[in-house]
Amino acid sequence: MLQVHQLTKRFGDHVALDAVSFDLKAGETLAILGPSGSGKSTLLRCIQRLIAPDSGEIWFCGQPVSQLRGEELRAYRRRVGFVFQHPHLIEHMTVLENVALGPVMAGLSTNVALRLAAAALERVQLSDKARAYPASLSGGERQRAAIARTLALEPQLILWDEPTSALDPILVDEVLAIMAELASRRDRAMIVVTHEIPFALAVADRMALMERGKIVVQGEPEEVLVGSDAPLSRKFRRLYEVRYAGLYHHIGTRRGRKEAARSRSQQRLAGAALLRRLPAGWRWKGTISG
Amino acid sequence: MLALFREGFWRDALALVIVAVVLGGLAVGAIGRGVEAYLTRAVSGLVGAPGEFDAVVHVRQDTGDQALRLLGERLAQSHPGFVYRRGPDLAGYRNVLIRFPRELRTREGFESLRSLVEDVPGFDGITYIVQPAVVISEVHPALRREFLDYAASLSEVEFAFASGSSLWTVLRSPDDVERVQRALEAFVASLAILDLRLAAPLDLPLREAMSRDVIARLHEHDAALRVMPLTVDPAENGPSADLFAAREAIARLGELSSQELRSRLLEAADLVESMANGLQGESSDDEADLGYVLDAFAQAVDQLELLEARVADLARQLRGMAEGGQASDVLIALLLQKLMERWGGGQPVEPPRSAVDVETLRKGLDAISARLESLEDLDLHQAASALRELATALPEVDPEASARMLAVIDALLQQSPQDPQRLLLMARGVSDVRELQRIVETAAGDAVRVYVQSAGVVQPDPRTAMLQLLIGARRAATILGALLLFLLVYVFDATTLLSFARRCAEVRGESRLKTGAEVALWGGLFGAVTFGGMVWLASGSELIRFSLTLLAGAAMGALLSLASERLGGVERAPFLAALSLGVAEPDLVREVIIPAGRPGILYWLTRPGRKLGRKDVIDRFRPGFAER
Repeated sequence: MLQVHQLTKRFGDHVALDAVSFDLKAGETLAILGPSGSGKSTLLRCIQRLIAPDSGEIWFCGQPVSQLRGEELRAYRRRVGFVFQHPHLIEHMTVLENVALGPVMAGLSTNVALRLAAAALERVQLSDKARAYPASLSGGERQRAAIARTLALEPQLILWDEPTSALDPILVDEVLAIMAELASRRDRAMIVVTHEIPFALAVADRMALMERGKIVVQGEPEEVLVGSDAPLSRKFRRLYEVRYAGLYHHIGTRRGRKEAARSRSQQRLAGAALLRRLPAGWRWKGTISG
Repeated sequence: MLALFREGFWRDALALVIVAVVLGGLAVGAIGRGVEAYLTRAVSGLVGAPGEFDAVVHVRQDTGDQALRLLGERLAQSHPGFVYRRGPDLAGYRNVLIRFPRELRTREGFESLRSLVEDVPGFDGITYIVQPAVVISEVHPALRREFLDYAASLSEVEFAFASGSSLWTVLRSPDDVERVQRALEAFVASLAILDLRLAAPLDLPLREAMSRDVIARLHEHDAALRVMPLTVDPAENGPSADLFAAREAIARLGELSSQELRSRLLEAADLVESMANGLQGESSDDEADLGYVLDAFAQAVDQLELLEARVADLARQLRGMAEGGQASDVLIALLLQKLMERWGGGQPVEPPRSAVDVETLRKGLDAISARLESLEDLDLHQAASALRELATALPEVDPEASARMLAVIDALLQQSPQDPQRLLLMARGVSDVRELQRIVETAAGDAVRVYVQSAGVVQPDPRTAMLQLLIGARRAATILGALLLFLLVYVFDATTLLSFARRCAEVRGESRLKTGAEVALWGGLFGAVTFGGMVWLASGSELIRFSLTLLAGAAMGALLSLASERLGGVERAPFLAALSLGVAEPDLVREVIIPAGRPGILYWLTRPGRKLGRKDVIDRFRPGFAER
């Protein structure tokens, strides 16, 4: 569905993306992890053509994205949704209008667009705030409205740019739950840039670690996080151990408690496997961030 | 920006420019005309409607109504046709507006107004507001007569009169103002006053020699150029002319040597004495000696008469000035007193009637002469003795005292050609003033500084000048109004578009330099069209040249574009959010950027076509809306 080949982007002397290449199949979820400034957000923006790459190519459904202009480009952007780190809601519009903006501007009649928007708001459980203005929403609600705005266009690919990183820890769960639900449907591809390792382990089909504009490791999440000896993998592994080692005790399942008693290496592997099997709608109980 | 226009936003941009220009132009025009109308009313309130009055007499406010009554009486006595009205009191002065009767609308009539009203208590001058007229101000006294004659020779001129250093040419029709002004300007431009400032005082002969030299050099350079020393016609009226005349009289007194008269009297006395001795000795040459003595007497009498005439002349000039109520009254009186003391034999005398007792002197001489002719009952020794007494009694003309008096007068005459450190020349047929100055500087040498002055300044009458000031005020109001409205439109609308263009360029990955240049270009274009259009619509090219406003607008627009991010920067977040939803750029501007920004013209222009952000759209949503 999406092929990224040798994508490079520089900002002056700084190399933000350095020959990044990967593929993404339809319905697949790719989690991208990496330290700040490693080029994750730039990669997503290049994919959505919010930034023009210096070189390399992106194919979407077999079509080169760099060639797109005008209406073709706009149609591409509608097929590739983008959820920003901050909600970026338009303050002078109601939540419903924010969500309906994409469909209305795509040429749908206002009534149809509003229905799509209303449906999207229902999916994120925000129908009761449809007539509210963004200023009156909480951070979690705002981000859910932003997700609804993206969903209203029924994109084939959704790019998530750390959607929970700016949220209060208490509000993170409600956003992650929606993302987990969307991923579990497997009806659209997703690229998730996140620092939530358990979440990535839970929802991603594949994982990529980025550092200094390069993808240093990519593959199955367990393989990337546990099986790789790459320094970045080791760093994330340690981070996971430190921040999330006590997770099993909080899960409150017998299996979890049993797994927690195992050796640390086994614990990590089992933990990853456990998280991948979490049911839809599972909530993290506010312990993820340690 | 071009991409934005290609996508259909050009209609919005065009509408913005048209609305801004039309509304701005009309508003600015209204402001300008309002200012002009207000000020015109204010002027008419001060000095009446155009042509209603001819002069304003200023009288000190503290002199009360009596002064005004006296002024009215004077005018009524002079001519019943005078119309006068009390104008507004300003800055401690009462102003009386006066209209001349038709019969007195002449040079003499206008020039006599001062003498008619100047002794009214608190009188402080006259301002002429007669219309239509062209005024030549700063006219050198030596050229006043010539200017008046020239102005009067123009067919469009009804009459011309002098007031102080200004000459007024009153025209037959207001349509002639421009033509007469051009003619007078050409006349003035053909004349130039060369003011040579010498490094040290020079005597008159040296100054004259220098003057001749400069004139010769100028003539060598341009044969058509006529240059002459600047002199003042003593017959010219005015305080300066009086002073010049007095100066002339004193100078002539100095030329007349009393020493010569005294020596002639003494010579005559010696002859009479020798005649007496000869008669006693029965000389045969009696007849010849007598003829010689009579000749000597005749010459002495002639000189005495000349002296008498000149003293009378001086006395008349000084008395005229002393009675004229000039600021120099005290000085002149002192000067006169001093002069008369000297001529009156050292005794203080009442000037000028008892100035010199030349009458007695002449009578004595005449008596001696008659007796000599008859040779009857004549005691020649006694006659010789009388002659000697007369010679002794002759007053001294002290050259130093004369020089001091001349210096005092010269100090009063600021532009006196007699200043020993100055040389004033007048050039006619001047074509190039700079070249003229260069030649004179070369001819006069390094030690002399040369100033070339115009012979006068031609300008419209004060009311017309005031109307020109009003045009200036209107121009200023128009420019300020246009500037203000342009800045408002620019800040409220243009900066948003320019900032949007920057955002789009960022997404396209264009360089900052290229983006900056493009934005400056569009900003300049917007500025030129909007500012130029506003000013043009407000005033045409009547007040300011269209090309200038275009240039100014372009410069302002380009400069302001540099600050467009600060003045009305588009937020990146909603821009990127909308862009990521596949919203077209024009829709993005109309639906997202403009409503989120300041409510400028574009806000109202795009509002009817907006699909979202409207109450009716929000009202459609009810619970369960999605299922319907």
